[in-house]
Amino acid sequence: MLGKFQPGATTEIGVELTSPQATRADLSISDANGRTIHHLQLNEHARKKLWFGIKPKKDGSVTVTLTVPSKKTLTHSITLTATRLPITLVSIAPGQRKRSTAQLKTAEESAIVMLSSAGFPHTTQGYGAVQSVITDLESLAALEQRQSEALGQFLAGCGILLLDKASSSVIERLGRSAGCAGQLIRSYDQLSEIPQLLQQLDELRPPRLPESKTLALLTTSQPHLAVPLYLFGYLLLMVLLSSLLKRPALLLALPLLTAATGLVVWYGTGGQQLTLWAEAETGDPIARLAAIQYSGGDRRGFQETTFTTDMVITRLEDQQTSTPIERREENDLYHLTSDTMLFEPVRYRLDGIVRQPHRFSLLLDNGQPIVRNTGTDTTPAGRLLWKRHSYALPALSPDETWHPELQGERPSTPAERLLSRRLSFNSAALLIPISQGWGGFASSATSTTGWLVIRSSTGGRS
Amino acid sequence: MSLIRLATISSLAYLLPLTLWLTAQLELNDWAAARVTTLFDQAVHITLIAQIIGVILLFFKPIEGSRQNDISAVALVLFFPLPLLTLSWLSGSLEIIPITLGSLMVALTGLTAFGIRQGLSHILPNPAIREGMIGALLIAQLILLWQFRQAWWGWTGL
Repeated sequence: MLGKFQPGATTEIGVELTSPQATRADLSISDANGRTIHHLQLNEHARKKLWFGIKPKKDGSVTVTLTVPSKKTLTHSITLTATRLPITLVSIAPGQRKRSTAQLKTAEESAIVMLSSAGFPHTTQGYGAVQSVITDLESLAALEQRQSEALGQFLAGCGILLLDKASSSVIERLGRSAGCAGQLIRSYDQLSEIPQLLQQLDELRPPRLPESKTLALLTTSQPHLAVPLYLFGYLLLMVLLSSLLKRPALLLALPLLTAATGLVVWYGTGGQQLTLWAEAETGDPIARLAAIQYSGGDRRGFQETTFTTDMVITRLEDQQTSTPIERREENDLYHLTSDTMLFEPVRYRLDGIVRQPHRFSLLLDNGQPIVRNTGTDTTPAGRLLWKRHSYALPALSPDETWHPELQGERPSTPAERLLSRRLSFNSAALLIPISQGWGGFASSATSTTGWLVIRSSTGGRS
Repeated sequence: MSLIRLATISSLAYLLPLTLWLTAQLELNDWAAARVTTLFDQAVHITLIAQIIGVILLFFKPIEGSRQNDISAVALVLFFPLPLLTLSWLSGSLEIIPITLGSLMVALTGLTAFGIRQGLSHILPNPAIREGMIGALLIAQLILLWQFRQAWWGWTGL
């Protein structure tokens, strides 16, 4: 646990449990996501250490409650210190720590957390607010497997890593599996180099993912015509029948019938929709993936969705203690349950990392976009956005190139309109659909609208 | 004009502009926003007040039809906004019990107004004095319900 947190970002906590006898237990974590229940099996006198991704409440508090079958409960609350700044993790030789803290504090706009290698996050969520890691090879070598995996995911997500006196071969090896072509992994010789390096590398990072509100636009921009039609249709019928019916008392049946129709149409199991948004710069492996799961929205009713625990799940709003996120340890699944209302979906944010999807290069040759499939598989058909127009991009086989020849159309889908607004006039971008199940968590009942976005950079090449 | 027709016209008179306002608000604001709940909540409050005005208005003039027609007219005022109330429940703005209690309040108001007219029709033979008295009592009932709206909204859980 880093002891600090950035409001809205995830972090992690470690929980150590021992039991005098073998028993089942429920570990409940209450944080900004509401309540998450973990069903655990404790063995006799065996120490169990678990790491959980959390999102602290605004005041930094997190409450952990352990319940055993005899209904005995043990509750522990912790409060983390809030920081608005991105976090820099520093794990270097003890002799250099004091000096490095002083150097970093004077030059870098970040909150510094000093830790030993044992303190490195064990989960991807632990890196939620971490922007950079400064460490040495000894600390890296001492990491446990889970910590190495979490660090690997952090680097794949274009996290910054500065290594003390690391050789170029080590940097190159680490860079192969990292995002942003490994450009954000560097070696340093002197502590005084760090502030300038951090500043340089920060500028190389890809832009942040769109905010949740922008993502929400993709699924909520469709007007709900059904309600005006329902209400005005009812009023029109009422006017017509009141003038046509010889026995006006029969009018009483119409409101009852209309209300019953509304109930049949809008009550039941809530619908669910998954919106994915992935953005990659410079043709690198996908660094980050964000998805939003909408439950309900167009119906009122009970909703249950199941995801594998590979996903990082965060409730965006509607925190209801009555609808917990439940994780079953034995089958590695998350169960998200919620009571949803008409037009008020419960939103979850799903964060994860997907490596090596489709690879493209997008080159602006004299201002004219040229797309090439640089991957090893045939890419799906997509859209090219250029000069406020949208062009149909055909499926490309490996090494095949394509450039727009026909006149483009006006951007029509919400994703195209949203991206078009985010592009400067001379830039180009590709929208590649992400198929259902890409990322391994979309259930068959989920409708998915996902786009991989590749934009041309200022240098003209992407 | 029959009482049922009057009930239809008075219900349309408030529900049509209310529906226009509600759908315009919903279209201008994001449908998925938390504002949907507030909008439906406001619409239900307006509906109940309008229903009370409508049901009292029914008994301002002497009753011409049968008792069955009177009850049908009160029931029509009561049932008319049912689709809107259903939507407000589906959107999570209100639960069924407050909506039912609110409608019960409207029904009680109608019965009281009906009772005032029926009672005074037997007691006061002079038509001028009788209509004046009934009008005054119905207006007093309306003013009381308006003045103490927060109290009965609170009681019904609205």
